[in-house]
Amino acid sequence: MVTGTGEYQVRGAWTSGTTDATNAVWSTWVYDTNLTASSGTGCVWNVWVGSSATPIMYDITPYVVSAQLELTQEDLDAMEEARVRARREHEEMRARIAQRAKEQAEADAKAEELLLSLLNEEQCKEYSEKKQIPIFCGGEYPAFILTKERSYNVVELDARGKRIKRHCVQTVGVPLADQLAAQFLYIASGHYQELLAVANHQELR
Amino acid sequence: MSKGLMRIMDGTGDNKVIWNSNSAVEVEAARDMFDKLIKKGYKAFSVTKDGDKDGMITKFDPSLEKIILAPQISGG
Repeated sequence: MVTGTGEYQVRGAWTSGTTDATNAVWSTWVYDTNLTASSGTGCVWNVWVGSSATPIMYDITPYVVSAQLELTQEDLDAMEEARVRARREHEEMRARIAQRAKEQAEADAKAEELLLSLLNEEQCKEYSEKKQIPIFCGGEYPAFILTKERSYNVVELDARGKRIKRHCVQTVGVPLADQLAAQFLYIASGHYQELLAVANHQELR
Repeated sequence: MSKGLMRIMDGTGDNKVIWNSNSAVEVEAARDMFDKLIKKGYKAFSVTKDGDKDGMITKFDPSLEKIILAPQISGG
């Protein structure tokens, strides 16, 4: 029993649960006359820190077995109702999250399919392997590379293939692959200036 | 009979609108949808079924094979 209010019954290694009954925390604490942190070998401090020959594992997690509270049947019913409601809401929330994840996966798959339908074989391969799409505009090197990221994913290259800038231009409310498809269409159809006009830019040095 | 396809990007990936170019009703419905989206800031790109990109368009043409509509872009 825990001293104090006397309302809670506590079980644990305070009184038992040790291989050495005389060294139980509670017994030692109560009966050891050398009850200081720096004195004799049998004091609570030394036992607790494991100075005895046989290490003792104390379960110091007391738990409430019962609580004598003055609750009416009405209180108990209200508590049960709240518990049931909380559980139902929790389950509904989990179902909504699972449904949302499923819808998102379907949307991502559709957007990927649309994007891939726009790319040539080489671009598809690079997208699959390197998560980027090179876009050639007549030169030896790509003029732009789209990386599979939401922000700053339009990389501009110079005529020698050196990455010189990256641009951030986004489409809101669509899967990432749709954003890439939109960026790709702007550039591939020759309207990249329109794309860059609204973009934020970062020099790459 | 030739069919056209419009793919409109949205949160679900995209929605498809298909029209038969010989059907005035279907063409009008597709045109209405196209115009409404262009007014909302969408950009339309004509693409052939082989994947060739014809370019950006601003007017609905029922003879086109495939049109992709992308929502408005903005600086990130």
